[in-house]
Amino acid sequence: MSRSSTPLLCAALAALALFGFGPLASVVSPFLRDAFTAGPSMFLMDVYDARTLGLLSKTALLGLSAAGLAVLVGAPFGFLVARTDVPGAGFLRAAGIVPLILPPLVLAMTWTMLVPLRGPVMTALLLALATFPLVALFTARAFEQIDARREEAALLVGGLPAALRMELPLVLPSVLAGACLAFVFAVNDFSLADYVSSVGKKFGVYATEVFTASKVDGNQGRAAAIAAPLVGLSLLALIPALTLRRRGSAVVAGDFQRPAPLRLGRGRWAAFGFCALLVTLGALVPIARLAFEAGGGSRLFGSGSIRRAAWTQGGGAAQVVPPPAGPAALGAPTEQAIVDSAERRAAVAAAASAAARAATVRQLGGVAPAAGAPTGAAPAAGDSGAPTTFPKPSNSAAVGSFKRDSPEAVAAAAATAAAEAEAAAGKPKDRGPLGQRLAQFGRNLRGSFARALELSRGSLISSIVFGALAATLAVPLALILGHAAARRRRGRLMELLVVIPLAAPAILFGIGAIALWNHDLTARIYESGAIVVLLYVGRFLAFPTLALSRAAASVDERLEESAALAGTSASRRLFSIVTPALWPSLVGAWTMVFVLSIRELDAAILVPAANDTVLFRVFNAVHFGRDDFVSALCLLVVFVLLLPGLLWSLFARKRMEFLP
Amino acid sequence: MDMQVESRAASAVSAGSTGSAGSGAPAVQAVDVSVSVGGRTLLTGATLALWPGEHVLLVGASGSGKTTLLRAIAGLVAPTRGRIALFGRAASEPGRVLIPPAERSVGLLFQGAALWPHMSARGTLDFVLARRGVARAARKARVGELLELCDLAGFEERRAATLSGGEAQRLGLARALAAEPEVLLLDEPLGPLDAPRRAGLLDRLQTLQRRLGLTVLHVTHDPDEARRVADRVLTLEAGGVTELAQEAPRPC
Repeated sequence: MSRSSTPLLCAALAALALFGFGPLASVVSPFLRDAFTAGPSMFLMDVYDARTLGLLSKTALLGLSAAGLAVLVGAPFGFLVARTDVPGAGFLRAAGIVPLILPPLVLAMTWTMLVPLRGPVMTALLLALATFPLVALFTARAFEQIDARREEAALLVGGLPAALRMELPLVLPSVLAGACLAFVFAVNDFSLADYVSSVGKKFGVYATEVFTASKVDGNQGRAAAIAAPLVGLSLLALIPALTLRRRGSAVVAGDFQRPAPLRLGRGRWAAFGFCALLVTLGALVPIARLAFEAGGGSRLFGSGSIRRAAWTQGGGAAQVVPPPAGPAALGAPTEQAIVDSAERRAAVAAAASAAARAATVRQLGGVAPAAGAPTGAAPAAGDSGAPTTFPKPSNSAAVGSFKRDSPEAVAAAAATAAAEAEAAAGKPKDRGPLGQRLAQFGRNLRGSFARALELSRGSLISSIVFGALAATLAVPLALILGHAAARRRRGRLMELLVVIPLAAPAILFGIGAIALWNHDLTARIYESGAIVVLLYVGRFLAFPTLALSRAAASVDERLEESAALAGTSASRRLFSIVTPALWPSLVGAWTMVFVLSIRELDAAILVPAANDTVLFRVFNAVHFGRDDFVSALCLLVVFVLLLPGLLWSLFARKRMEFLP
Repeated sequence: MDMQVESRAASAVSAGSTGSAGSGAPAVQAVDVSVSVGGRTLLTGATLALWPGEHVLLVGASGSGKTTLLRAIAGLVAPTRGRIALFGRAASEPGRVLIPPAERSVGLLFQGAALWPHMSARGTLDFVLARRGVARAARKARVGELLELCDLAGFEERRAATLSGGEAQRLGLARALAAEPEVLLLDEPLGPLDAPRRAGLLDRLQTLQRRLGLTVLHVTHDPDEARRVADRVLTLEAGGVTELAQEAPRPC
């Protein structure tokens, strides 16, 4: 009676097939062709050598470490902010989501600057910091779904320890579901691991291998083959996550009684300290550090020995750069200096960009984007950031295909040396009194934001438009698919289907999107922002679908049955009866796709049209741009990412629901 | 409001708060208890006294605060005004729970039983006994006794979700009794049951109360059926508790 509309479902499934499975099929088919041509065993032996498998096991270990750490801190955090009288629980809960929203690259940039630790340990710590909110959110939700009377029955028996002992098995599936998702995020991450690797001791993760395989010889089949074990690894975590999520998601009956906060007594301040520390490490420190850098803080207040490795192209770890001279000492370089430096570096970036993109597109067997297409903005002063495809000139995998003695690399190195000499030449003897420096800091801050806004307005708008369009397209599809998953007999199969695109490494998805749309027939899509929107929809459709499936399952089925008895069609029931009951989840689903789209870099890094997105601009600016510009730009991105949540908290009374 | 009930309860609490606990003290005394949560008043000025071994029915309209009063007596919520004493010992005062719920010797059968969904009947009772410090060896026998007592023999491995309404209520009762309470609070225990099962559970409650010497405060909104097992019937209305019938008055 409450089944979803079949025509609508067919249309949504067709969209899923095209946007979600199309890119994957485009890279899997050459893989299968190659495998059959060469003979499966020969092909597999050629692709999977001991090094590849070793890398896979290391990546799995990295994912397990990150997920384990995320559970270690995320589960207590979720419990404390959701169920106890810890001071400021509401704020801590909201602020605790921020590390998940921040682009991993931003976390990597700020923390590698503050902490000398590098390598896989640093990567695991940062990934744990980025993913602990997932575990915390799942934990919090699970604790909140325990009926007050069940908890009170345990409290009567043995107080708080008995209550926790009773509740642990009830919340464990949710905690593990969060851990599985954290694992999937960690093993598929490319940008964070690549960044940490590029500023310190070189190490590889499997996603990097996929990236390298895609561009070294342009063999999509090989890239797909290389990616296959990672897809398997992700599915190994995603399938249990789907089951655990259902087990952990109790249906809340009509007489459900929300439990009251548990009293921690004197322990509440210790609990507050723990939660505040996590929020500080994951959200406040990165944001504060960005603000500090945006105002030229290290030049104004630092000792001059700040580690700039993370910010300097080709710098390697722990490079010490003295503060700049003259007006630049106060963080205000002359406009001419900016332009000179910018132009020099922009030229390098543009040359590298053009060469690399042309090479990639040729390798992928497509047509090069038309002139004037948004495949690389003009070099811009200030960030020097003409978007380039693989601009990183250090030991990053993203520049692995550049020859060290190529003109691009030589020019980039020269630009670096010039910039550093420029900075070292005029170390000031006296930076003036504190008040003057603070005033200068304020001026610098305003100036940085003004420059970032002026130079990256287009990229910001592009990202917002792409993200908003992707979210607006994804949510109706997710509503139809999610409702069907909740109500139809084969709902679990449908949930499994939608997560498969998520299991594929983002890099592979990006390669697939190029292979799918880069044809004469679809050239208009390929050359426009449409490909970016479709890429985001296909990549992220799983999240809103699972969130809306869960939300639809909690809606009393009799509401739809009574409407059906009144003669209402299935589609009308979906939009008139179900949708109004789901609006906090619908807004949450929209926000989720919007945020994920804006912070997406791994898949977009290969797609020419996505070179005009703001995170790509950040990625370029990190290597070719000034610290204050990069920081201001990152802060603008953070602001855009947080904006939907801020608006919601200002104007809505209900909590936004966005968890899968 | 019945002034006799109120004055007796007030004097008992007053004695309890000075530490003169002892025989002759009511099992439960509540004086002018009000409870507000989040600015919403759930209970206003309830005063009552229960004597050891009594079975008292508490009736009242929906929203009058019956369940809140039980939760306050169990120590699950602190009164915003008034005091509660158990066997002469001050248990709660405004804003403070002086005796934690687990140390009150109070059992509570929740409305709808509120069973732990992931545990079997044996697991549920074993969990309670373990928290009460019963040795592992003794727990098995004790679980058997409790299941027998509540007419649930053979249900050891059944989970909450597989039990009928009556079975769930009986398991809820066994869970409340496992902690060997002196005061048993029953929140609408007959609610989900059909007529024959109601009569059966009432008989079981009466037998247990007499056998274990329990003091029972039994919340219901249909006193007619339960009246036959009760010593007194109190009614809770906005502003306090009144006694409808005083069939077996106890001396102070």
